[in-house]
Amino acid sequence: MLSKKIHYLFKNYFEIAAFSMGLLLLVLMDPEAANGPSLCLFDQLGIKFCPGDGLGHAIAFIFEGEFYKSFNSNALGGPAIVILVGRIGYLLHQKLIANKTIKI
Amino acid sequence: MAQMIDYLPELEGDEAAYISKLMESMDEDKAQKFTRVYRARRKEPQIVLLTTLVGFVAVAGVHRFLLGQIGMGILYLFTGGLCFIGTIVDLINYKSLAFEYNRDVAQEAVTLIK
Repeated sequence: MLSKKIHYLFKNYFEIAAFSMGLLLLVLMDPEAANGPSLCLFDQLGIKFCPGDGLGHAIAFIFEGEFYKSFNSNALGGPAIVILVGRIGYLLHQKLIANKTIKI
Repeated sequence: MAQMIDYLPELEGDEAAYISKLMESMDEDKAQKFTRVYRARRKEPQIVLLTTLVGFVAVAGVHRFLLGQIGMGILYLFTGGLCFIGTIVDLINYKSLAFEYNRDVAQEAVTLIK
C-alpha cells in the first residue's frame, strides 16, 4: 500500500520535486560564500570548460537582487529561472487542474 | 469495442493502460484509423532515453526538443543539461516525459478521427 503510494507520487511529481528543490536550495544559498566541494561532474572529470559554469551562482545572485553579478556569473541565470518556473507551473497545472495524473 | 492489444501490441505500462481505456468505446473502423495516426505520431520512450544519454557525451537537451519543449531544450543546450543535473533527472524520468507527450498525441488523434 505504502510502496504503491510512493510509486504514484514518484511517477507524477518527481520532475516537479526535483526542479523546485533545486531552485529552493539556490534561494537559500549564499552566492558570495566560497564553494564547497564542486558538484559539477565536468569538474570531477577534469574538464575545465563547462557551458553551465556559474549557473547556480547566477540564479542565487538573482534571488539576492544582484543582477549585474548574476549576469557576470552566467548570462542564462535569469532565463533559467523563468523557464524552470514556467515548466514547474505547467506541470502543476497539468497534474492538479487538468487532472492528468498517471494512475497506478 | 476494440481491444488495444490487437492494434497496438508494442505499448507498455501506463501508456498501454491509458490507450486501452481510450479505445474501449471505439468500433473497429475507428480503432484502425486511431492506430494509424497514433503510431505515426507517438514517440518511443527508448528514443527519449537514448537522446537523453547523448547529453552526457555531446549536446544536452535533444530529448526536450524532440518532445516539443523548446524553452527547456534551449536551456539544456546552453547549460550542458543544467550542469548534468537536469540530464540525470530526465534519465530517471524519461518514461513520464514520453507518456506526457504521447498522451497529448492520443488526445489529438481522437479529435482528428472524429
